Amino acid sequence: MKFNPTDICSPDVAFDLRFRDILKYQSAENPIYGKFTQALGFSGVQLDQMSVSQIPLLPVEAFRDARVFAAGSHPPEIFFRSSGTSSMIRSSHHVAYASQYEASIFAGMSYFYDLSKFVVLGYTPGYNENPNSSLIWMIQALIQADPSGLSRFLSIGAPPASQLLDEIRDSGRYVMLFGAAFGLADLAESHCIHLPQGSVVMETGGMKTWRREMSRADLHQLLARGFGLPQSHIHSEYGMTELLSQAYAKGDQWFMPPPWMKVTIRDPYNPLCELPDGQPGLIGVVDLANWASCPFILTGDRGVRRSDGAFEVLGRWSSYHLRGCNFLLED
Amino acid sequence: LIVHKIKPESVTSSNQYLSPEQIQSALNLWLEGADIPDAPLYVAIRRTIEEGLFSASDVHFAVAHIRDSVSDEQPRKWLERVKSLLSQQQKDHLDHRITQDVLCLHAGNLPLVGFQDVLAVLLSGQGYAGKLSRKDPYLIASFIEILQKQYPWMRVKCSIDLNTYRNHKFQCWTFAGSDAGLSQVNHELLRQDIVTANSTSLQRTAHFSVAILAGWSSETKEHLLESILRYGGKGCRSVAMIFAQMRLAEVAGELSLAASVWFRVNSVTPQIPHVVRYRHAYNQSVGITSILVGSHLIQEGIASPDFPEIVYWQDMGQSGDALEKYRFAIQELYVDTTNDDKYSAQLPSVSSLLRSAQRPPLDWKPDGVDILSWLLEQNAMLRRS
Repeated sequence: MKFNPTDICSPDVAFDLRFRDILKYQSAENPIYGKFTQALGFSGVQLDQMSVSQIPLLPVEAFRDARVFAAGSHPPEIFFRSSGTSSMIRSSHHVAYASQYEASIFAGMSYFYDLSKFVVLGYTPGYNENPNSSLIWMIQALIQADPSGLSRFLSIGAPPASQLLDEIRDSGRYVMLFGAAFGLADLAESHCIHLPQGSVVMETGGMKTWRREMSRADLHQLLARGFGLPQSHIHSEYGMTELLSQAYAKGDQWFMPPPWMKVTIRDPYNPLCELPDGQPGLIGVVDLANWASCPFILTGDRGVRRSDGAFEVLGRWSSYHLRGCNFLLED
Repeated sequence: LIVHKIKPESVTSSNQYLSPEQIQSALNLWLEGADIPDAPLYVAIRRTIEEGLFSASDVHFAVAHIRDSVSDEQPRKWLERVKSLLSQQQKDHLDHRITQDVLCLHAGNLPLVGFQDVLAVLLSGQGYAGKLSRKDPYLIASFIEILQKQYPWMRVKCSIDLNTYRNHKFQCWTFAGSDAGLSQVNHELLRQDIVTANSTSLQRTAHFSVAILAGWSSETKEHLLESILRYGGKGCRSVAMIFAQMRLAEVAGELSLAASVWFRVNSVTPQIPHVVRYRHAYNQSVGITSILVGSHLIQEGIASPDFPEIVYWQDMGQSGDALEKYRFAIQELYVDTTNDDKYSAQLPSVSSLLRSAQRPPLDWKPDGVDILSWLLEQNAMLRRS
């Protein structure tokens, strides 16, 4: 293994140092990223001198259109596939080293939360039902790491048993309840659930499949009411099949990445150009934990960044409105 | 010279609207001015080009197309055709008096876009109030100038400033644009009392068109390139997706060559946008076939229409899913003239000819709606109420 997983995800190792090493590694060992940067006209020497705000970001569709892999002949240890209907061509992430994903999950969580104080509950399909979901793999890893045995996947449609909640209360710990936005909203509306005070509801996205029109703020209000928690305890996770690290929003709309993950907002009309803080554009992610696939990703999400590195997700980049008549008030 | 030729007509009765013959006369006078220095259209064309709003080629093409489409009394024929389809009750409610002004919100993505709306409003016997785009402020205005001079009593006006129409409370308005911006426009119009909550509107929001190629010939190639390259691909009639029997690689060489001829003939120096370079590099890295045709990129891969300069080439067999997915965004489905009979069963029944992509007839139906018919119905309803 070229890089040590724990080192990559250590808050104590300078980002720039690792970034340089991985950039060099990617241009040499990732055939797709290498071809991409060459086709853009950049030499290896030029790339070596680039910063996060300058480097070419590989469109995330690459994980759908090709096999993005930079670990040579090492066979992938995990295979993730994005959700979607059977007729859709979905993204695939061949993860070379499970230990790298594990390191990223635990270092990321520990950076934002004191994991020893939480019992993890997953209101999602269980691992056996969906072993190719990177989210479920993460929840499974968190559950397995809890020696108390209280952490678990919940049955879909059923609230956590009151006995389980009592046991968690008695243990002096809190709940961290993971689930997709629409699933949690259904649960909150159909059952009266009071999680132990101090608990966190972790909404993992999925707003686009929610059966009603609802803003994220309204959803969080509903979840807070439904789970008997203050709204500041309704958190969000920003992650995707193609990334091994996650960013977290703790009670507001601003996601904060861990130290080995940086966000750069790019101009949709010129993705080589970074937009200044406060200006919306395409969310670009540099996730060093992805060193064995591709850590430089241009997502299809629209977002804006704050000067402290936090970012807000403004939804999917809607593209076809760029064509045709477009009456604009400012025109 | 043109302006001197105009003899203002006096009004014969209050609120009289323009007859098709009067409209045709104004159109002829306006178009005649394209080649006469100091005529309103000549000046408008010159300023549009000099200010870099559109290329000379696109402006002259748009004017020439309007000249063709209004020739042979096409405006009168359109009106007669639409009137013949109205119910007797609707006809009874139409007379020769202007009942209202119609507000037309014009986009500015291509020269003279929305000119059909202007003509339709006039033919429907209603007053015209246009909000012109700052990206195309002169061309339609030059026609309005002719109308105002020839028929000083006629209610026609235009402005690039929406505030001009504050408190006007239009009962009827038209819009062509993105559904994403529509709610903002609605809100602003209501806030300024430009329209009322009860006003009726025609909102056209289709974004792009699709070509279905069952065969391939030199005509197909020319028509396809015109449908892609004209107006920089920014029109809703511009082709964004192609479904073909053959692979892109089979015709890539021919297309590249023909595109270079197109740019030379149209005196346009193609500038490759950053996003096209980026996408081309990406396609090369993942093995997606794509070719640069001047400023544009035609590519295989999963279609997700986005930038006007990027066109998706798909296998004919994939057309069903894509047409379903984008049905609300598609303006026109074009078929080629060289279709082989054996493929005709696969072609959609609602389609028009590829050669007409950038040369639609005067009475073409954006978003499937005949605007003149819609305006006459609104007019009749207003009178009935």
